[in-house]
Amino acid sequence: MTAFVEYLLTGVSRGLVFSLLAMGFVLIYRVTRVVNFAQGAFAIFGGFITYSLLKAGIPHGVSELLAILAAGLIGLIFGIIAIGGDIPLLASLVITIGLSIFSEAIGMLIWGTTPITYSGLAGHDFVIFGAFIQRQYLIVVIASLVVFVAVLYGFGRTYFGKAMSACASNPYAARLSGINVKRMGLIAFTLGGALGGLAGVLITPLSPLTYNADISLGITGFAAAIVGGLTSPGLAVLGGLVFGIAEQFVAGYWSPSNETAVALALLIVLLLWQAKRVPAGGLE
Amino acid sequence: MNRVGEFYEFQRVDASQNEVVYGVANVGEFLEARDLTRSFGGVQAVNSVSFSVAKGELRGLIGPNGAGKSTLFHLISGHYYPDRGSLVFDGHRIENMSPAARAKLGISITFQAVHLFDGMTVLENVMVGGHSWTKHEWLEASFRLPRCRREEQGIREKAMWALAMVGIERYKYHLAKSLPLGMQRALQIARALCSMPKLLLLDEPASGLRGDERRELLSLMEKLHENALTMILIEHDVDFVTKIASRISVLDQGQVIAEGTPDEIREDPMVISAYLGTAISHEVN
Repeated sequence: MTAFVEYLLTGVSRGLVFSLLAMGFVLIYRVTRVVNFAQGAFAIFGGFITYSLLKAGIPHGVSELLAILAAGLIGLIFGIIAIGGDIPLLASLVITIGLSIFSEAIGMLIWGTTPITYSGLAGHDFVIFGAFIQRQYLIVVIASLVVFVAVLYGFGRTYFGKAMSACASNPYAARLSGINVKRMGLIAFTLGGALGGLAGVLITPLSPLTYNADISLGITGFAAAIVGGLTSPGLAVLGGLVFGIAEQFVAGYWSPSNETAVALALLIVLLLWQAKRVPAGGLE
Repeated sequence: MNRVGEFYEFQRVDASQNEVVYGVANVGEFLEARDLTRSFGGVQAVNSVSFSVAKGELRGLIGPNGAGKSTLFHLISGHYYPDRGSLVFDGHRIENMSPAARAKLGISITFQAVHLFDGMTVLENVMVGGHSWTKHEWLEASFRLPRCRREEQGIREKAMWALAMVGIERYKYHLAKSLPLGMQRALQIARALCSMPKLLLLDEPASGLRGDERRELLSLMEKLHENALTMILIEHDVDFVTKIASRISVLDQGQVIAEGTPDEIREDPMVISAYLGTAISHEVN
């Protein structure tokens, strides 16, 4: 029972990190129709920049915040490269794959190949149903939930969110309705970058990151986003939780080396399910 | 009186009928195209077109299929940029401006095909049309800061007014896609009106409409015309255009071949031979 609770709670918090990545995918896709395969890179930059800032003596809280802002800025730069010009959608997607590979190279050059971690915010572990849970998990849950509410509200309930959605739904009509579609896309990339950065900031104290961890994080985030057809932030959160919990149970009751295999198998099942659910010609 | 925006004032004349009137003060040269040209590959869709539209005018734009009418609209709205020529709107050179910048100046367009925003209600679709009035950003929207609330309320008011103008306000919470074609076309006009345009470009708004829907559209356009909204109307139904337009320009093979009052156009031999033909001219007469 203790192990079960531990796997479940750890899975929930890791799942919320995946949800943040998934939400970044959804946000960018909903506004630009581009699947941003560099989403995992934002998490790496978020974690690595926090590590460097903490090492430079900048206190906790400030370091994390600066790293998230930096990831947002990186998101903006990636957005300018991927959608800034008059680029077809497919080319933008390929550019994001290139940016992901480029980010790995930058990460390796600056931070090396050794896994990087740092201690989370100080505090004692706590016990739930006999299971010891690190305080960092609680921070993950609180930070993620606050962000989810803000994004879900911002997208679903505000006029601005509707205008952003209009860009992906019908860019032609949106443009002629006075919306600067490109600018909205860049805002989405910036927010996607910040969400990815937050995911990295939260997960690095729990699981050391290497320069190439963006692939596994990106794939899991993408799989979670697919649960909501890449358009529903709410279902993306649910997808992230499912993947996080499944991963912990597989690692705990089976073998940690099978985590990625299970995530990929789940992704294939989800893609097949989506292909059946969505009519040929588009998601909407 | 309820002040909305810097260009228009509108007031409820009769709240029970949801009738709203807005007015533009001055009259004069408003849109001026000079030598406007646009090619696609080897085809010159618009070829050295020059014309001007006065403030408050309702200009008809007719011509056979492929005459360049929709391309001309897109040169004015900013969807296409001209290869050559100039466009002056309300004192601004606009030929190189983005569509968003032109919308901010007050140019609005309704489309020949219905273009809706999926997954949104009628009201939300129309509210998107008021985007050029907003200045708030994502963070302000997420935290519901005062400017966001103020602007959102302003757009909602404009959208409700626009929906009342086209007569579909009771469907405001329906999904836009669930409406029949006639209402979807009305929704497109409401979306354009929500931007409180100075110039409204209507690309075949009556196509596919039933008789009663056409009459409603005609009455709406008359109402807007009476309130001095400048409009350019592309329409295949010549009878429809001659009923409402004060002047008509005729386009053929990318060029303006005639311009004048509906009566002058009906009798213009070039128009008859190039476009109207015996059968249609009979119908018009």
